[in-house]
Amino acid sequence: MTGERAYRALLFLYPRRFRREYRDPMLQLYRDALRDHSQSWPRLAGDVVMSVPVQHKEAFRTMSTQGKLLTASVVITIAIVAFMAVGGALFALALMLVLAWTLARLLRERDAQPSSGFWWKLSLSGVGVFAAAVLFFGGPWLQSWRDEVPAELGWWSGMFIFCTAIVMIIAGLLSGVVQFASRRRLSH
Amino acid sequence: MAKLATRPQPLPPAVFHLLLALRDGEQHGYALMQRVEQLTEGGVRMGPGTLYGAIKRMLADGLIEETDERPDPALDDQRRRYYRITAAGERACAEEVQRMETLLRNARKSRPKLGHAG
Repeated sequence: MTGERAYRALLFLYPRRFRREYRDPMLQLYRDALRDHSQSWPRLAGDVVMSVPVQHKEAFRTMSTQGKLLTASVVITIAIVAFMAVGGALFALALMLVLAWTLARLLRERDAQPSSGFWWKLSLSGVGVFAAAVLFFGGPWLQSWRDEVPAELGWWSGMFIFCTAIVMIIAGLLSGVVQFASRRRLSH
Repeated sequence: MAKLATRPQPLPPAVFHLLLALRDGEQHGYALMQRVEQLTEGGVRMGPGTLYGAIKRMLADGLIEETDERPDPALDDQRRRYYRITAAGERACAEEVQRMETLLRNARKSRPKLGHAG
């Protein structure tokens, strides 16, 4: 039963829509396979590890442009911060370029249709997050609270928030540029 | 759906194995997993994630369909889902077999010893 609970927990790694549709049959199959000893637990867990990225890729492919942009932004922001932790600023800079390239590519897809106000809402949200972070980390009124937070944790959370803000601004502006360009193309 | 009909491409191995397994008649997930293992003489053992990932794709492409019919309702768990191959699935499967036969024939022509190891 513990094994089934662990397998059930592993199923949370799949995209929500896939999980909603196939969680029950997958659990049934898991029970059948273990009952007949046709597959071992590590093998079944390995199958989850192998098939989860495929399903996420599939889910990403069928997402709306906004969803794609936001997902790519969040994933790459996490990667940027993680790389800064292990590899330094050069890796982070390289990832920023990957991000810009990924976003531009997503927006150039033939069926990319960012809604009209999306770019400025996203950019403005990024500016808002940036301003809030500056006030929070630089303002004098939260000094006592900041002193209680371990320096390491404070630095990394600060980095994460700043990176998120920058990524949102970049994504928003790129979105705007692509929208502007596609409008011009349509009008000619 | 139309994509497969107008531009035949090699099928992903998991999809091809499942189509072959479903040519024997409608089956549920676990039976399919076992049938694929049988067909490949133990060479391919699909896990639930791979199996249902392929099933989802095949349903979307119209190669298979879910069916409410049960071979023997008294003996079977009502929660199981059964699948059957569609006409498009049969066509795609036949095209893949044809493609493989051509490939094999050409491979044997160019290197006569292929397939006669030992």
